[in-house]
Amino acid sequence: MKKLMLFVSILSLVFSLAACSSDKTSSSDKIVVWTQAAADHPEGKMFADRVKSYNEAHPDGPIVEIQNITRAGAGSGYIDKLNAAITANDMPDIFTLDGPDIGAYVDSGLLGELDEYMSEGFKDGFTQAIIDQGTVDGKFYGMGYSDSGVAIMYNEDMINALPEDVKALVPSLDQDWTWDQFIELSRKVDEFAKTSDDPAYANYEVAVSLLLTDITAGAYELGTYYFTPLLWGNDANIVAEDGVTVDGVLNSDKSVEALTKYAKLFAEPVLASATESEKTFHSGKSALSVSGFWYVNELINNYPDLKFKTVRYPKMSEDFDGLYTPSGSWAFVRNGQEEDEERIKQTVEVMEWLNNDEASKEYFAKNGSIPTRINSVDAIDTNTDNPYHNDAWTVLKYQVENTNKSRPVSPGYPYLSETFAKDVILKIAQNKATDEATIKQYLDDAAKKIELEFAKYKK
Amino acid sequence: MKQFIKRFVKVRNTTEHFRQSEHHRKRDIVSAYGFLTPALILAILFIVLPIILAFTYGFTDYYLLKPNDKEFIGLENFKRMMTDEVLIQSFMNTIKFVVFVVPLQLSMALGLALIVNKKIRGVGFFRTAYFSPAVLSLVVISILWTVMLNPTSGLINELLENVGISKQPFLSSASQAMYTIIAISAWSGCGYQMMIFLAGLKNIDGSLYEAADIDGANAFQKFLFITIPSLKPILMFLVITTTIQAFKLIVQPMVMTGGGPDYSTITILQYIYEYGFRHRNIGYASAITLVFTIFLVVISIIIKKLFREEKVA
Repeated sequence: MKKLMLFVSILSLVFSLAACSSDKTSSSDKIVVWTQAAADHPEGKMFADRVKSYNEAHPDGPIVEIQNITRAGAGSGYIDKLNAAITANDMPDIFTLDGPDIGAYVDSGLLGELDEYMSEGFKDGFTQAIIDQGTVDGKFYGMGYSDSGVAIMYNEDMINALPEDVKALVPSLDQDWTWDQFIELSRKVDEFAKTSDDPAYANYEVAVSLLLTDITAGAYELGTYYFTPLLWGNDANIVAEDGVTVDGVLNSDKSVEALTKYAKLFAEPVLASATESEKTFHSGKSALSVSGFWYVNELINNYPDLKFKTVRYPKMSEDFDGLYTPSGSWAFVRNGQEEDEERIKQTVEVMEWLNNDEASKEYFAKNGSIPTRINSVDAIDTNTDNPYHNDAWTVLKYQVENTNKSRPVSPGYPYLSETFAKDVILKIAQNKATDEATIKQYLDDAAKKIELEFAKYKK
Repeated sequence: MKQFIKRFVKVRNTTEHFRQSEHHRKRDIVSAYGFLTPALILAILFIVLPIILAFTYGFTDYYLLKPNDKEFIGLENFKRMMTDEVLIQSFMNTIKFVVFVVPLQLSMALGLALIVNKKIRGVGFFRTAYFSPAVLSLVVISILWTVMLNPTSGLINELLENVGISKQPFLSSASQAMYTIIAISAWSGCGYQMMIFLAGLKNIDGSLYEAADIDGANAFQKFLFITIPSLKPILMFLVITTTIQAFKLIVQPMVMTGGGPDYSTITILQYIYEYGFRHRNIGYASAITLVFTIFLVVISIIIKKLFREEKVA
């Protein structure tokens, strides 16, 4: 009996300690890669294929092992596991991070720089927005494996039902237009929808779908990603170049001006809603939509009856000639705590394999990921038998090559992004705040909150 | 602990079989410790240790991405809490939720229990129907209600419009969102409590009602002077458990409103989670946890004291 009890006690202790101990993944003959993509997702599959081809092409090198840690929503799950690995001092050799998070991880000394280990000219093969996204204090840390884009899509049937003079307000896919023009078109659509019995408007709910419900659901970054360009296109920003100064930047006069124009969507009669129903654009409930690039595949594959056309993201100021369209995505980074030079070289070699021109083309073919390599952008096929696909990718390709801008690099980006999305973008929509003074107040309050949080980065 | 072990051994030694030698007593002590060890280890690892860690981290600037770079900052985190408007609002929201949901949920549960306690046809169906929300996941319930409460196309607003009431913003209005969450939470939680009340109602001696009938008592008087006093122990148990459960509100606001609009539904637990994991500020989140734990302990003591007085009475 006594022995049995002793055995049970020891067993419990062992199990408890085993549960708390970390699983050491790195070993000298193996390079471990963590990604946030599920193994059965096209993104997960494309990485698995790429890693497999690396192992086949390098039989004498270290084995590369990929581990897929599924993320939920904005990255939770995966990020939680990554943070646990950091706490346990057990980071993988290579892992993925969303572009704007790179600054925070570099600030904490967790990422290793890549410049001195990359092949000659490899870095220059990335588009400028991707280089900017991965660069902190002039050093390159993150190889973006895909870029992104946001454009305006419209329901062709709903637009075709409009009077000719209103239809003329819609730009062609190779034309720039302004936010004011976008608002004017939206207003005309709304006026028509409320008086027309055209079947295209049978399910009409709201003129423009903005997906602000994603912010409510916790995907704060989507709000910032979609709408920071309103500030960029007016020569404003959400944080200064240093990444930690917000007061005087986020709440500048130009920001107020841009967001007051954004707020016109919520003036009575409202053109957009903070509580639009699920898949508003997809189901013909809105005529216009601010749409992420992922809409292209989603609409073509799952909503074959929807005729959607695509035009460029509107500029806030007609005279603005800088970069202003949203871009950036997840990137591969390396464990900065690795000190063995030989192993770092091997690791960066694997990263190059996962991010070279060929990989970039493969990723577009398999997942529709916008290539991040200059020489691979041509992989975007704008000559398929689907005109809606062709139009959308023509616009997105143009933006990637000409107007895409990386999101700000800041060690406190998650807080910055959440506060901007929740306390400014969503709040304006929920409170239907359209006057300049209220919007200025929201921006001042948000700037004050962020400055308080960012104080620790200024010490 | 020693007292507990002694008591355990003493109880066993009262039986004829174990009233033996000193050797047996020692063997029993070892057995007792053996049985206790697994639970003790788990309790230390997952209850005691986290409390101690939260206590220590609350006085540091622990940032999740710099786990080896913690610095003692004294009462800085606690000072910050005094001026953190969102924190204060999340605390007030939590209190508001508890104050409203506990009486609402319990009265709904009691009402339903009284209905399904009647000997009428089809009562089994109603028992199942009323209890069913209790077995559904809170996330599922929250998503369902979010769809049904959509201000423009939700089922509830369609129904309201059909009876001549204008569409309501519900979850998208800062003044309505918390009350909407309270109503949904009370609805989803009352089925379980209904079953407990029902068990209590079944145990009330029928002769009490017969005596009351003879005395000419009406239905309300019977409810007030027989049913309620008979259910008092159950009522007190449910008040305690529902109150503690209500303080732990996090799922519904996280899924339905994200804490908004305008922070009108953010709760303490959600705020702690967001600061600790989204903003990686473990030090500050630990400080809030510490204060909130102390607050809950005080609340528990007060309720326990009330319960004791009730027992004495």
